[in-house]
Amino acid sequence: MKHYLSMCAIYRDEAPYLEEWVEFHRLVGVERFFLYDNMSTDDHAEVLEPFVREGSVVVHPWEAHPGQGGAYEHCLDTYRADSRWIAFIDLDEYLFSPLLRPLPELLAEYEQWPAVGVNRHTFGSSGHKNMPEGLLIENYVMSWPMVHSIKSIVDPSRTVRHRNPHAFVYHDDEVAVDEHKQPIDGWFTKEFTAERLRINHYYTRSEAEFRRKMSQERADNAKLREQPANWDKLSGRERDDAITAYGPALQEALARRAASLS
Amino acid sequence: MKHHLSICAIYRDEAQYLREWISLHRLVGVEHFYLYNNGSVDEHREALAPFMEEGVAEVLDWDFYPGQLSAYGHCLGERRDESRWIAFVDTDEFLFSPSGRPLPEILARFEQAPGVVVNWAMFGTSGHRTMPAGLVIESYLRRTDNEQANRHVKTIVDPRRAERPGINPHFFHYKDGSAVDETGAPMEEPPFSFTESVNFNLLRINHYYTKSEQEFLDKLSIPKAHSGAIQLPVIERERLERQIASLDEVEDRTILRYLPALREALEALQ
Repeated sequence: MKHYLSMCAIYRDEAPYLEEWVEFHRLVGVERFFLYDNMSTDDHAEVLEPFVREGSVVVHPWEAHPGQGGAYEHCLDTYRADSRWIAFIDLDEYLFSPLLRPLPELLAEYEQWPAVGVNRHTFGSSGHKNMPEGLLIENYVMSWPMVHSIKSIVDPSRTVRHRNPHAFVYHDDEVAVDEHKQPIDGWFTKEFTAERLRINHYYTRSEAEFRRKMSQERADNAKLREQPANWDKLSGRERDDAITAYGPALQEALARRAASLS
Repeated sequence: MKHHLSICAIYRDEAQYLREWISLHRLVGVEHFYLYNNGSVDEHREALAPFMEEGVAEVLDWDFYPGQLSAYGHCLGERRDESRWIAFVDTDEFLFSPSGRPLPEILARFEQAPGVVVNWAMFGTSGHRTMPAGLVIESYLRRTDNEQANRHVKTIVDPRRAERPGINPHFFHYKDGSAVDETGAPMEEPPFSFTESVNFNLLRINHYYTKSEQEFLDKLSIPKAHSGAIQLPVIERERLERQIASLDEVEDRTILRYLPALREALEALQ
């Protein structure tokens, strides 16, 4: 076993966000990233190059559309023996512990289960019409009521295959648990719970970016997303800035990286 | 142990405030200053010269942007065995005891703790649109009474028991135990950066957050190190304007007891 916690994600044209996303997750204890490039046309390769060189990021070109399920299967097959845990999340999702403890420290308490399902807080445009300067995690701080669907951190050695972007099938009919070690039926928790583990899902980012996203087909089923009924309500309802505790450390990590490149 | 109580701080272009800030802290019992210069282009060296000659302040050029947490980590690593206590505060923060007693005397009752957290008293513009002529502590006499605003803390750590800075400048990780607030309550719950309620009768930080309106706007327009200029979205700007107005809530003259001695100390530097 080479690594304790890795991440798998598929992306298309996420160059402006890749560095912050990788650096943030390194800060919370993710060691390795298996990334699937789904036909990006931006400078993603250039952004990722330093990470690839140091070995923390592996990029697989992935030209299937929809490509998410196939990429997840490939990742499980290829890296099953490489990591104790693999988190399958998207580029607009940030996984962390509101306890501000490193993820490996928390995950050690869940080793008897094949997977941990993590609930998500959804974030809106927070008043940004266009992509602002600065950190994503500091710019988007307005969220909506919680959704009960999960993303999964799986033990790949006990995982048979993926079911959908949220849930997986495990050996011996075992099931994933939530942060309170309660079994999860399907891919929804009974109660929303995100005290120990949480994903911030930056669903819209800025209004302009959300409009663009609405015009693109999804990576999981190649369908278009449902148009929002009311664009005015995109901003988000309540302030939720728990993740901004990481702002200073993330700024410094990004600055150190920039300095080491110049 | 060379010093009982020191301050570690990182600054950029604070020349006009450094002498007052250091002199006030010397009056309340801080013996030594570990200062990290984060790319200042003003007369900071001249402002600090008397303190450096006296051996009270040391300045290290620290050219990482942003560099606060790395400076704190460096200070902890290098000075662990030099100071019994190190307070990690900014140059717009004035740490003192509202009781009027010296800080070392107050800290004596917290010797068992690896760190002591101190609540902010958040001061506003006190109606100053531009930088006033007087000293900071006499010019800004209005603060907020809002618990939410004052709940934030900064920390005075026992550097031998602190392992490293946290993920932001408000808290530290310790080899054992937790920091306590002035009531002795341990800071065990994340996010560690603020207390449940505000207590600042024994220890307090007057945080001159805005200074004058003009200085506050200038501060907000300083580019973030890695990403260029900040563009405040409308929603944030409105929040900030409400915040500035709300900070001038109550009059607070507690720190003025040090004014005569502070004036004297500053005159002696001339």
